[in-house]
Amino acid sequence: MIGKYHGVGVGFKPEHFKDIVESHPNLGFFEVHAENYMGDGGVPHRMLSALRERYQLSVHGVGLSLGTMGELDQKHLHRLKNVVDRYQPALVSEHLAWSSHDEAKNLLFLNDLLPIPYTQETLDRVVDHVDQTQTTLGRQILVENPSTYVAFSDTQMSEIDFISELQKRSGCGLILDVNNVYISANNQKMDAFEYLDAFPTQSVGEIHLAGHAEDVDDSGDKLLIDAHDRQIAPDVWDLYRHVIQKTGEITTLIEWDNDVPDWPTLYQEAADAQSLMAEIGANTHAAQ
Amino acid sequence: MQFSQTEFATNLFDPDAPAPAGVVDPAGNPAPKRYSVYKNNVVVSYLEALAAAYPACKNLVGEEFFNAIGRAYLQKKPPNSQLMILFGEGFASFVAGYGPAQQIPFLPDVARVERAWRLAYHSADIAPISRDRLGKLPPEQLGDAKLVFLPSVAIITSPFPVHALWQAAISLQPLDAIAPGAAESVLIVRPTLDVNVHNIDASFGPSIQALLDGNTLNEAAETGITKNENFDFSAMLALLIQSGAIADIKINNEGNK
Repeated sequence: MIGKYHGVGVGFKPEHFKDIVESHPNLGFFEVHAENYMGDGGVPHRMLSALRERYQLSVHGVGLSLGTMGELDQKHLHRLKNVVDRYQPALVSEHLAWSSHDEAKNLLFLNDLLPIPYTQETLDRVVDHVDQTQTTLGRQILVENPSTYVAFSDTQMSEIDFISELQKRSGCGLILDVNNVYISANNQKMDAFEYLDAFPTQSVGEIHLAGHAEDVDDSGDKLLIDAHDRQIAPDVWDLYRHVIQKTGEITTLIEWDNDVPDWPTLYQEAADAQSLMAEIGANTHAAQ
Repeated sequence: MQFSQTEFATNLFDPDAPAPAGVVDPAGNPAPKRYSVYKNNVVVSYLEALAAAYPACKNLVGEEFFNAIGRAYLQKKPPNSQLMILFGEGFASFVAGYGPAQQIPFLPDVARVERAWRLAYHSADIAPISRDRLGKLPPEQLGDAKLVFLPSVAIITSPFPVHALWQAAISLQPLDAIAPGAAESVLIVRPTLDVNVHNIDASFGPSIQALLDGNTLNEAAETGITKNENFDFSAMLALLIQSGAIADIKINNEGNK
């Protein structure tokens, strides 16, 4: 992996704030979505400042739209810079996706992580956007592998090749979202273990784990949805084991964003990841 | 390249639109159902953000009708900012002009309260004026002074019992006990962390609005008394001070803005 090992963390939800300050859980960090802390003041900033006093933070952007074919929104990039400058997080990350569309200077924010075809043109574009982001923030960011529901007839290269090239050319780090790998492997008819074995794990700074939902596609085949609304599936835990056998100790985040459970339930997911890390990760001398 | 983000984005908003050119399944076949996952994600996420911004309105009309209003609103005003925490601008005005919502004439005013609440919740942290500073202001110059309000301050004047309706709706209480004809005005202030929603004397409304618009205390007093001869200026000023609405008082010779 790259960077320091920050242990296991969870996505912070305001409804857990009281439990967290009262119990001071044994976690390495908390993750927040950058956009939720782009207001001017009030409770959100007060909570985040209190967390920051005790824990490392991972600031995860969901609105920068690195995959847009238009220009990167400089206003939003500077909002992100303000959050990063203020809270000095251990980790800053974004997605290999697009979420806004700029038509004749009228921004349309789609509030979802939308897929891109993997072509030379989109690669050049994303490399440029990651480069601008890292230059503005003055630090390396991590870019997350997506979960996808469709494919593109334009696609010229594999997701792994795209991500590897992006990493090499921009110098960014990566998030390996193991749940996304499981989802995309099912949805794109790939082998998840092969994907993990080919992934440039030496550039990964953070692993993500989350729960997913199940639907069906146009042919009636199983289609998995990146819902973040439940416990991590046993198959995803298996993939995680596989990854940490290879990487050793690696910063790991539990994401649970919808149908948010009570604090003990979420904390248990983190404790399960910590146990696996102690059992497998700590004994692995990463052969990288 | 077949892929167009414009087409991909545009088709998301049309339930009947096909998958954009070049969007396929892994075998290369057309995949409208797969594409519709994105359509659903986007609309659901918008409606959830709108419901988070207007919980009292949603409770008043029920989820189904709220989502119907929401879909119509989104057709007109899809989010133009990445800051979903501030999503919902102009919703009150939209509801006021939305035909099916006319049966609930107080809905736009409840929406105004909720919008002001949301903006106050995320507003900049500015402290109310100190007692010390208040005590040192020269009383003879106060008439020409102007108020600097906390950025959270807003006033909503309504012909409906908007405070009672908002409070009942937000806490899922029945509306039966609320007298429908009672006009209410609301002052919103966030002096520290909690957003306070004050049910204020309706005669204070025009005068507070005049102060918010940058008029002097004398001018605001006149506005208040013109609109209502029983208007009590001192009581209004006391309320503004006690609620923490005032950040500072600018005396003329201190460089009035």
